[in-house]
Parts: sequence; C-alpha cells; structure tokens
Amino acid sequence: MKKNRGSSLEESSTNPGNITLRAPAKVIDSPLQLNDIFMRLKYLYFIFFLFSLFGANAQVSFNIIPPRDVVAGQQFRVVYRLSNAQGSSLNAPTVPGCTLRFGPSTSTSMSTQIINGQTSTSSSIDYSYVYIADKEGEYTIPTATINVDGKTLTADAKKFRVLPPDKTNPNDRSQVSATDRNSQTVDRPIGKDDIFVRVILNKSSAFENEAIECTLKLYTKYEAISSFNATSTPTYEGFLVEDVPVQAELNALENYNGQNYRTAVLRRYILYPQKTGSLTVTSGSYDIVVQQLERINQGYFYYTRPIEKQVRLSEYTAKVNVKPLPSPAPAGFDGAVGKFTISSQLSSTELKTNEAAILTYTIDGTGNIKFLKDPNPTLPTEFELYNPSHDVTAKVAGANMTGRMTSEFTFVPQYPGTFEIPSYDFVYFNPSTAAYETVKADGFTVNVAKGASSPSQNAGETPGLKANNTDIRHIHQGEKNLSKQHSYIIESPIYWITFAVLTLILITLAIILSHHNKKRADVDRMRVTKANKVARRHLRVAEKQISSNNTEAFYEALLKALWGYLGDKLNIPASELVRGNIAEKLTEYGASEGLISETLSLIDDCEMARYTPNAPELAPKQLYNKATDVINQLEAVK
Amino acid sequence: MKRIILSILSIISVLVAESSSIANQGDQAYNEGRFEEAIRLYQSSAQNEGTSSWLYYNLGNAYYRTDSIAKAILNYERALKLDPTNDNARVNLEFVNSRFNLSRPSESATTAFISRLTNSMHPNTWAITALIMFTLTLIAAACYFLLSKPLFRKIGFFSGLVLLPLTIASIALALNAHSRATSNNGAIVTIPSAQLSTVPSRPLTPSQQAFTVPEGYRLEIVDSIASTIDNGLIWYEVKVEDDSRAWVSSADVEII
Repeated sequence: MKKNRGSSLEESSTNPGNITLRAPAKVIDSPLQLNDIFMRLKYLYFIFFLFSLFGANAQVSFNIIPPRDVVAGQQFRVVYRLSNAQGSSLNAPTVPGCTLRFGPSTSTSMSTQIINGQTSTSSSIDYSYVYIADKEGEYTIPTATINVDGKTLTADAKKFRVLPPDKTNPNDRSQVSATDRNSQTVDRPIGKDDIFVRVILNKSSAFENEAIECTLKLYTKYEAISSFNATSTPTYEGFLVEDVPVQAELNALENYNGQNYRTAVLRRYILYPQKTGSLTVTSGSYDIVVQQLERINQGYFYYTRPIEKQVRLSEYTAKVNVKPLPSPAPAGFDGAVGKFTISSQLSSTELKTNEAAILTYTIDGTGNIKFLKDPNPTLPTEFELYNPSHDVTAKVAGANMTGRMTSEFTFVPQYPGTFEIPSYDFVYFNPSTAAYETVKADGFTVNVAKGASSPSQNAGETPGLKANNTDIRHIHQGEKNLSKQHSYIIESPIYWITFAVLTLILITLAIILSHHNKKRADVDRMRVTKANKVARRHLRVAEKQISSNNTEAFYEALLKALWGYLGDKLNIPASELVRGNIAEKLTEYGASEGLISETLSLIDDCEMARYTPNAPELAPKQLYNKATDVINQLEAVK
Repeated sequence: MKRIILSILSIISVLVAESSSIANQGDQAYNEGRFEEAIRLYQSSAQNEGTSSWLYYNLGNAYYRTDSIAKAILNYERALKLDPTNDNARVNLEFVNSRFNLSRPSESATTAFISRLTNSMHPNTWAITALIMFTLTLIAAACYFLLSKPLFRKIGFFSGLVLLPLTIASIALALNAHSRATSNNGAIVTIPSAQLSTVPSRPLTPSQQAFTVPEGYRLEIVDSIASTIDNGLIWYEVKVEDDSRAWVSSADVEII
C-alpha cells in the first residue's frame, strides 16, 4: 500500500452539514469576522516564515478572484490574490459602477503538503476590498498590478454578475431569502418555490436521434441541506440515455422567476429520442431534509440553533417535441444523426489468397456516435467476409457526444486477381441543416496473388462453384419449327387401325398356320395307319420271292418293308432314316428294350444278307417270319 | 410435273424464310434489350406463322424481362404443353415460380414419378413407342403360338411376359401424355391477387371468400358455369391444393 499522507493547513473553514453537497468557501463579509482573521494571522505568520525556509519553489501568480453570489444592494468582496511571493505597491483600480465600502484588508494563508515524503509549500496573500453594487448587471474588475521583487505582475480583468434582489411580495411576510440565513427560520413554512428540482432540456423540439441535453437541477433557498434522497428515479421513456457524470455541488446564486436560488446540478444526460411525437422527461421525486433556524431567547441575547425539517419535492416534468426525420431517407441511411466524417484504411492492397486482410472504416464526429451501426460495404464476393469488430470511444462534449467509431472488417480473398473494393457512402442526417448529408470513404484496388492453399482445400474439399446471381435461361435462337396445327399421332384413326391391322395379321397367320398344321397332322396319321398295310404289301412281295428263290429281291423287299414301316410308323423322313437313330426313336415310341434289339438285329441280318456275300444265319423263311413278328409286336405297342 | 414440284418447294421455302424472319426479328429485339418489341414480334409470329414450344418459351422470357410474371408463366406453361421435353422452359418456369414463391406443394412420389415419366417424351414419341411395343409383343406372341420349336416358343413366351406390361404401360403413358397436351384444365392467375370464392360469383360476404391466390399461380379447372349474376360471366370451379374446391372468375385467369 502506498503511503499517502497529506496535511493541510488552510485559512478557509469547511462547510458544516452535509456530505453530498459541498458549499463554496463561505464569504465572510462582516467587519467583525475580518478582525477575527487578523487575530489568527499572528500565529500564521510564524508558520509561514518557518516553511518559507524550505525554499518557495512554487509558481508565483497574481489573480483577481471575482465575487460570487452578488445581489444588488448587498456587500461583496473583490480579492486580489498573490501566490507564493511578497508584493508591494498594489495598484487596484476601483470597480466601475460599484461603491467601495472597505479595503484593502490583507490576509495570508499558507499550506504545506507532504506527499510520500515530498514537502511542498504554497502561500498566498489576499487583498480584499468590500464593495456594494446598487444595480444588477455585469461588472468588470479592471486589471490590477503589483510589484514583486522589482517586477510588476499583472492580474487580468475579470467579470462578474450582480443578480437582482428577490422580488418581494408585500403580502407575503414569510418569504425566505437565499442570501439571508436569518430569514430561514422555523416559523416560516417551506414553500414550493423555496426548494424544487427542475428538468432542463436544451431544446424544445428535436429530430429523431438528435442529441438533447437534459439537466436535473436543484433550486434551493436553504443552503443547509442535511440529507437528500431520491424516492423515485427520473424517467425517460422513448429515449436512449447517455449518463454524464457530474459532481453535485451547490453552485453560485441563480435568479429564477425573480428569486435568487442556490443551485446544484444533480444529474446530466444526453438523450437521443427514439420515437416521434411529444416525449416526456420526469425529474423523479426527492425527500430532502433542510435546516431552519430556531431563535432562542436567553434573556439579554439570542442564540439560534438548527432544526431539521423534511420536505418532499414533487415530480417535475418537461416535454420535448420530436420530429421525424424527413422522408424519404436516401439509400444507405442507417440512423446516423449529427455531423460525421468517414475514412477507410486497408491493411494492404497487395494480398494473397487465404491470407486475412483488414478493412477499417473510421467514423469521427458528433451525434449518436455510440449508437451507430456498422457500415456494410459491398466487397467482391470472391472475398470471404467475417463479421466486423466494432469499437466506439466517445465522450460528452457540450450538449452532445463526440467520438470515433471504428469497424474492422476481416476478409480472406479466395481467388487471385485484381478486385475493386468500392468507395463507401456514409449517409447521416444533420439536424442543424435539417438535411441528409453524404460523406465518402475511399475505395481500394486490391491485387490478390496466389497464396498457400488452405488446409481445407488440401483435404480434397474443393468448394463448388458459387453462383452470385441466377437468371432465366436465354431464348432459343434459330429454327423454332413453327406450325399452325399441332397434331398428335394418337388422335389419328390410322394409328389405332395399325394396332388392329397388326393384331389381325397375327390372327390370320395363326389361322393359316393352324390350318396347315392340321393338314399335316392328317397326313402323318394316314402314314401311321397305312404303315402296317404298306409293310404287309412289301412282305407279300418278299414272300413271293421266297417261292421263286430270288433271295436278293427277297431281302430287298424285306428291308423295304421294315424301313418303310419304321419310317411311316415313327414319322421319320426318309433322309433321317438311318440305323443310328432307330433305337432312339423306338424308345421315344415306347418299344421295350428286347423289341428294339430284336428289330435292330433283324435289320442287321437283312442288310448283312443283302449287301455281303456271307449267308445269313437264318433261312429266308425264318427271317420273313421274324419280320412279320417284329412288325406285329411294334403294331401292338400302342 | 417437275415444274410444279419446284414451284411448291420454292413457296414453302419462302414461307419458312418469312416465318423464321419474324420470329428471328423477335430474337434480335430480345437480344438488344427491346423486350416490348420482342413480345410484339413473337405474338405476330404466333398469329401469322403458327406456334411452337420454342416460340412460347422465347415469349415467356420476353415477358419475364418486362416483369409480367403471370404472362411469363403462362407462356412457359404453353411451351411445356406443346413439348414437355423442353428443358429450358421447365427450368425457367421453376426459376420464376421459386423466385416469386409460387411453387406448389410437392406431389406424392408416385404421382411425381408418373408425371416425370410422361413428360420425358413428346406425346407423339410415346405413341410411336407404344406402337413399337405392341408390335414386339405381337411378334413374341406369334413366336409362342405359331412356332413349334421349343426354344423359339420359350423365347416368345418370356419376352411376351415382359413386353405385355410394358406395352400396356406405354399405351397408358401415351394416352396420359396426349391428355396432358390437349387438356385445357390449367389456368394461370393474371391479376395481382385473385379472390377465390365459395360460390360461382363475386364474394359478397367475408364468408364467401375462399382463397386469395397470387399472380402467376396455377389453378386446375374442374368445371365451368356461366354466372347468372355477373352478366353471364364464366366462372371456373378450380382445384386448390388437395381436395379443396373454389370458384374463380374467368376474367382473373387465363387458360394455358
């Protein structure tokens, strides 16, 4: 912990009473009190000399301290203060228009401060003149000079105001005066006009979002206030409020409605109306305890003691008429009201793909700077744009706020090339000219070189093409195959007739074919039925040949009978009639194994006898019988 | 004889040249940004030389450029009606519909499939496809019924089994495509917002107000009636989304 020790030795007395309100240094204006000061000086001189040994390295100055709270007809004091020096031959011309009552009287004060072991000393000599002014108005204290160590110091002229005396109502004997503590007695009621809080707006009509200065001011005739509590807070419906910190202290006298009051600024706001129409600001209500004096008679002399009295201050309201901004608002207007300038900076005009760059817009000015929205510049779509970072530094200046808003847009170029960042038009409404004004932030031409590819692209995640705008497809040019009639094949009878014709063709084909098949089947059946007959005929021929002993003809007839019978019976064309497929066909026909082998051996025997010189095992008669038997058996198969 | 043919050919070529020249003038006007003139030229071309899917498509584009949304949609629909395979018209119609929030609620998957299939070919192509399918089925039947060789009969049987449903389907699709191409059921709202009523006359009380439909919305006409109140004005009964029915004045819509 830092040691911070300060000791102060000062002539002026501290104000008794309250904590929140600090009264100014009390003006001592009675001769009796002045004498008192002189008595004290004797001690002070000693201390002054003691500390002057440390070397008065403090600044030498000579000033006029103008009087405060001057009311016509009452005495006041003009002080010429020489700091940190010994002076001589003061030349202070009298204040024109005022009557000098007394002076000069001299008082010396001195203070020593030891802060962290460092001692600093300051001293001052005050030369006081007591005047009286008869009329209200503004007076000037002329330039004064003083001689310090052979040099002449000059104090600049100062002005001060003399307020009119309270307008007295002859019928009202209970009137209290702010400047006369003796009038603030217990027997007088504390009236509505004696203490109140006012809401002061610096304009009675304003545009939407135009700054309005709002001051809550306490007016009181009772200087001694021992407590001050707000019972309800001020209301500001329809406003954005910017609180201005103020230190509440009792100020100089102020003449309001013909009466002199001490005033204190309780609160100060900058209001930005958000609605149009008549808007109301209220002061809130307060409980105040003031001190009145009670006179107590103690035989030969009086003395007074303070009595506390509670007063409730009623709410005070003020109205302001809020006008809408002129319509139509120009394009790009985004609620800025005041007076602004804009500038733009780009981190670099030589960029690389996938490397971030920063575009900064700076708006300076006075107005609703704290409530401005970020500009929305139109960057090329090839830039990936991030949300801007927003920063406002603003302070109250006069009846408005002045400051700077910066918006930082971070963007990453996605493709190489040369791109244009267009200039940005910032539109605001200037209430003093009642017109929209436009300021321009410069645009930039940016060259983007190919940089390192981003990790996401390395991972094979190539972004698809992104359409900036889509539109309808273009017209079809060239041949349009115009025709007056649009016919459909399906509507034409020929189409359906084709179906019918095709079906008919199929049916006709089927009929023809089936007819043909039937015929053929008949022929086959005939062949089968005739097979036996034909075979018998051949057999009979063969039989004849036995009797005539013509063996060759016999075998030929016998083979003819057998082959013919098989061909007819099994419905095999002559071309396919060979020994190889007889067995197969006979199996299909349903003949038994034995019969098939018997048939085959018979054919083999006949062919052997017919085509080779070898004589057959069996005699022709036996072969004939066997053939007859085979044919009979085959005939019996079905 | 040769002379006559030559002269006929020359007349046809002149006609073709002339017709393409009006429509081409429209193209040129469109390309140069004179959309009003393009509309006039396309319309005169349609009146004198006949229409086509492409002509309606270009006309729709020209109307879109002049911000006549309903007219643009109407002409795109007409282009699609003449040739459902006109992809450009479909894309532009969908573009305009989505841009002005006119997209209809999506139909069921089956309906969507059928309509996509139907629109995949021109009605005439469908008709020919159906005929070819039918012929193939007949051939397959002939193979099965008329040939005696088992292999041919087998081939005939199984290909017939496959071809028969395909034939039936393609005939159905051909009929569907034709009915779509020739139906006059579609209507486009041509006024900024049409008030559909529950009765075939102007809604007199709030309870008679059925729907409010925006310009460019497509309505399906079910029935029509000549109103006895509005001087014989024709009123259409239209289907609005699913099963809702309402009446719209023929003055508020134009049939595709």
